[in-house]
Order: sequence, then structure tokens, then C-alpha cells
Amino acid sequence: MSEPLLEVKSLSTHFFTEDGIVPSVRNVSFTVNKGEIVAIVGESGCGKSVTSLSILQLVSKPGRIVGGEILFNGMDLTKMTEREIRKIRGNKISMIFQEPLTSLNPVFTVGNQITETIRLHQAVDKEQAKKLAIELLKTVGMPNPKKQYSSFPHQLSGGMRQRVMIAMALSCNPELLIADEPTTALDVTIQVQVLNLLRKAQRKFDTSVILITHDLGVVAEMADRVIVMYGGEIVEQNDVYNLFKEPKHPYTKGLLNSTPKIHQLEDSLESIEGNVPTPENMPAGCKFNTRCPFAMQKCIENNPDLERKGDGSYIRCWLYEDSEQEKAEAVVSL
Amino acid sequence: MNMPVEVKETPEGKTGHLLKIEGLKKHYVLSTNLMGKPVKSLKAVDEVTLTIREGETLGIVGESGCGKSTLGNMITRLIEPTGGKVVFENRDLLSMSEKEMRNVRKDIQMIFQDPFSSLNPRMRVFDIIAEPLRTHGVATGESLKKRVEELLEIVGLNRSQGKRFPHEFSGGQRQRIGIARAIALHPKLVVCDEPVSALDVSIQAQILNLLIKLQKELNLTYIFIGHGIPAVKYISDRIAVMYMGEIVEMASKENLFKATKHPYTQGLIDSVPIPDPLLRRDREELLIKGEVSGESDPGEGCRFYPRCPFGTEMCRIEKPSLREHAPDHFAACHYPLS
Repeated sequence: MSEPLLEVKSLSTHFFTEDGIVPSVRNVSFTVNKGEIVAIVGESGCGKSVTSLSILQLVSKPGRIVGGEILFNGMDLTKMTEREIRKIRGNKISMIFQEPLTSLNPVFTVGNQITETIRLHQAVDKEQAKKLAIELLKTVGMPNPKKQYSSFPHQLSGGMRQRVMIAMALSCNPELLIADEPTTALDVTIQVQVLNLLRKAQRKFDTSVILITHDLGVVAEMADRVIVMYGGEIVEQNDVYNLFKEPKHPYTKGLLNSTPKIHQLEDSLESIEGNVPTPENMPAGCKFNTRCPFAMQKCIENNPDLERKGDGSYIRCWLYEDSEQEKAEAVVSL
Repeated sequence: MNMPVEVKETPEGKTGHLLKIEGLKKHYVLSTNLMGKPVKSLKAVDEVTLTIREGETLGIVGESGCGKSTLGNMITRLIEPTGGKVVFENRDLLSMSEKEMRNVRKDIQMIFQDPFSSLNPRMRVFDIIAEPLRTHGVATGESLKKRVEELLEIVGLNRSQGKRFPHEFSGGQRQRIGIARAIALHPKLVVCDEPVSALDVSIQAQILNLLIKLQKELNLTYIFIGHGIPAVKYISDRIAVMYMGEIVEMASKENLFKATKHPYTQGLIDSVPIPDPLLRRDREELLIKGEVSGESDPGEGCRFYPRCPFGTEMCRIEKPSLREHAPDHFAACHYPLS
């Protein structure tokens, strides 16, 4: 196993709204190793985006990280001052957002915005920065990079804008790239190009990637390891092959069964009953108990812990509770 | 290259035509000359011809801007076409007066993409569903109440929820309300314009299955417009693929996926990520490169020519027409793939 670049330990981020406290992310722990692509999947409101914003210390009021550590190369990002975190943000850790039109400044040219990032973190002059920027635009497959350097965001298509975002994100050779639904707003033929580009860049620079998505197809195509979130918590974690081969948590299973498959001609879809819970109606006990076909009395009373299993997977479900003896064995084997 | 392929016939009992669209087009004038004559126009939908058989689901797929939603909106005359015919049960909708059209609207209903903006936030759910029944004077008083309650239950909501307002519901539930409204008048044809695109994955399957169930029970015919190819494939019997305002391929779902003829269709299918890591594909060689050109006037030839890996001089000069290359399998390509 390679060494961890990012270690998120018991992260909790709550939003203190007028109507009460909304615990968007609860007790989330995971690691990202060097050169690894970790996908976080889940539906709206599961806490996947807030998790990524927490890593970059970008949670805005009324939200706040209320507990946990985020170790990046051993340094705790949650304890850093704004000045210290700025040296890391955009430099060692950068982010790509879903909607490139809202994350690019409409009144500056594309080139302007890329060179700004470069000059903020690297000691280069204007001319060198421009050269680097054009080189980056070329890397991300921008046709006619010299000309596009002077375009404004609105003059570009969605796919091209996302390429600009990727160019900006890669401009300082980040060690970690957080991509929050990077292709959700794009058409499929463009999505495949952008995913290709991300993968190429990741291989070239050996960047670690956290890929946040709701699309299990994208997960299967890209990820090494998968984290499934539901109701603000991690419910399952496994490497991509085992997760798709043998999903364990009833939610993961449900998600896979409710995804239409293009490679199978005759398919039947099983849906997960009920609705995605909102923070106001989050059930007690296991957060999935209102929709789970296997829910037992225990699930309504107590929330299971995220447990590590012998095969290296993590699962939060009473169905997979180890017996005391197995637990003892697991401890010994550690 | 144009080899005949063996094809299965479409399912029996689906031969009666419910709707025929002939040469339908919508051109938006971008600029005019001094005399007010258009010199430049955007062909959002151009010369679309297709038929919808009774009881079937015709899927219409394509990427953003291909004209699929405009096509759907023209069928219900929410957008007035520039030309062509929409023949529903042997009557041309486009030559009808507003009054006649209102009668036909009972038979043709629509379900919209965004369940947040397609329901009036100031109306109670009961009134939203009752509105079409009241407008057409179908039911009043106790029978109206009974019908609305019945509709709520048909779409998987409970009677008491009729008292609530749309904002109290999740996206999936709102889409159920939209469906209840659409089926209230026993329509024959329902145009579903991206009805699951805005929903979470686990909810999409619920809505798709609900639509399938309702189709069987109420003998509905669907036009299902979508950009998510897996979802369209799941629900449709036949699929039409649109590119830049035109249909480039149309066939039964089986044939479209097994014996794909148009390079664009193939590229579209190959672009969809498969939810199985064992089937990860080598993405080095993409079939479709580049993107849809922003040109309003794509010139003489095939509109897909600039992105097509097989394009020839012929494709640049001459536009291929939509021809039947195999029984019930249409494609607009000079060099079909199979």
C-alpha cells in the first residue's frame, strides 16, 4: 500500500441555521493515497460536496467544521490560518467545480485567470506565465490555444470551459485534485473527452484525485477506490472492483440496481422506495432505515458503526455485524 | 458497405399510427435584410418526419441543442412550428384553431423536466391535479374530489397529501404530481420531456417504473425525450437519435444498439460510461471528436461531417437523407456502419 497523502479523520461539518443545526457531514473518515483516484458517490444532500469543501476549508457560514482532523502530508488543514491555507489551496490542492460558468470570472479572459493562478503560487514573470498558460491550454486539448487565451468564458462552450477549469486546476501541479461533479453539466460525448483528459493528467503528474459524482458509470470508469455516502455518513467503502462485484450495503445495492445499464439489452430496474431524506427528517438509528428493505428493530434504534471487514472493505450496516469473536480476530490480525 | 441486416419485426399490435409528423421544422430568424426577409436563420428542428404507433414508447435522444425538446413542444403546439404537419388521429393539429386545439389537448399531455418550475407554487396539490379536470369540465364537486384522490393514489402518493403545497415535496414526489396532472384527462399520448433528468438516481428508477406501469394500465403512448441514453433505452420500444435538428437514425431499441448504422449513434453509445469496472474501455481512440459546431448554417453536406471519423468528400457536399436501410431501421448516412 502506498503512503497516504490525505487523511480525513472523524470530520463533522454542521450548518447552524435559523431552524436549527443541520449535521451535513458526520464523523467521516477516509484516506487518499498518492496517485490514487477515490470516488465519493451519493445522492443530493448526502454530504459529498460539503466533505470536499471542508477539505479546502471553503465551508461558508452558517456552516462550520465542528470536529475532526484533515491531515494533508501530515499537516492538519483545520488548524491552519487563512494565510497558510491559501498557500495550499490552488497550489497543492486544487478543485474543479460542476458548473464552469459560475466558477470562472466573466469579466476576465481565460488567459488572465490562468496566469493569475500561476503567478500567485509561482515566481514567474508575466511572459513566462503566459507561455505556461498556453502550454496548459494545449495540454487540456483546447483547439487553437493561443487564440483562446484571449477569449472570455462566455465565448466558450461548456466542455471548453471545463477544460479551462482543469487547466487552472493543474497549473501548479497539485498533489491533490478535487473534482466535484466535473462532467455532470456536460453532454456525454464531451463528458468522455473531459474524463479522458482528467485521467491522462492524473497519470502524467501522478496526482491524487477525489472524484465526487452521482454517476456510477463515471465511478466504474475512473476510480480506484469508492466511498458511498448516505445521509451525511459513509455507509460503504471498498476498492472499485469489489464494490461493483459484491456491493454489501443495501443502499449501495439499491443504487446499482436502480441504474439503467446501457450494455445490457434486457434490463429491469429495481428502485429504492421512498425519498432521499432531508436534514429535517433524517431518521434516528441507521439513516437508511426508512428505505431499507431489510430494516430491523435494531436499525431504527441504533446507528451502526462503520466497521472494517477482513477483506479491507468498510461497511456501516447491522446485517454485516461481526460476532465478538470475529472482532477479536480482526484486532489480532491488525 | 450498405449490407442488408436481419432484423426482428416490431412487436405485434403496435401497427396503428397515433401520430404522424411530416417535414416538421422550426427555424429561428437570426437576422433579416432591409426588406425584412430572413438572411440567416437557426434551424432548431429541420424536416423531421416520424410516426408514433399506438401503445408504444418512442424515445428521442440527443445532446443539448439538438432540437429534441423543441420537437416535443411543437407536438403540443407550445412552440408554433415554421412548417410541416403534425397529424394526430388523421387531423392536422397545425391547421386547427385555438379552440379546436384545446379539445385535442385532452388527448395529448406533457410531463416536464423540472418538477420545481412546472408546478404552480401557490396552488395546493389537489388544485394542480384538479385544474385540467375543471378546465375541461370533466368533473365537479364530489366526483372531482374522488378523481383527484384516485389519481394521487395511482401515482403513489396518499390522499391527504393533496392539501399540501409543491414546496413540501421532494423532486421525485413533485414529478409524481406532474404525472397525475398529465394523466387526469385520460390522454392518449403523453410527451415526456426529460422527466427524470433532474432526479436522483434512486428516484429516477421509481419514476421510470411508474411510467411503465401507467402505460400498461392506461394504454398510453409515450414520446420520451431524454439525453440520458440508458434511461431512454430502458423505457423505449423505438428510439430516434437527433443531431443538430435532424433525425439521424431511428429503429427499434434492439436494432439501434445491436446493428447501429449511424456513426453518431455509435459514438453516443460508446461515450456512455458503463457501471462495471471490468468493462472499462480504452478511451484513447474516441469515435467522436470535437463538439457540435456553433454555426447556424452548417452548409450543404451532412451535419455530422465535421466530427465524423468516416466522412468523405461525398459527405461534405451532399446531405444524406433518412433512408430505410433495413426494415423499420432508418439512418441518414451515406456509409452506414452495418
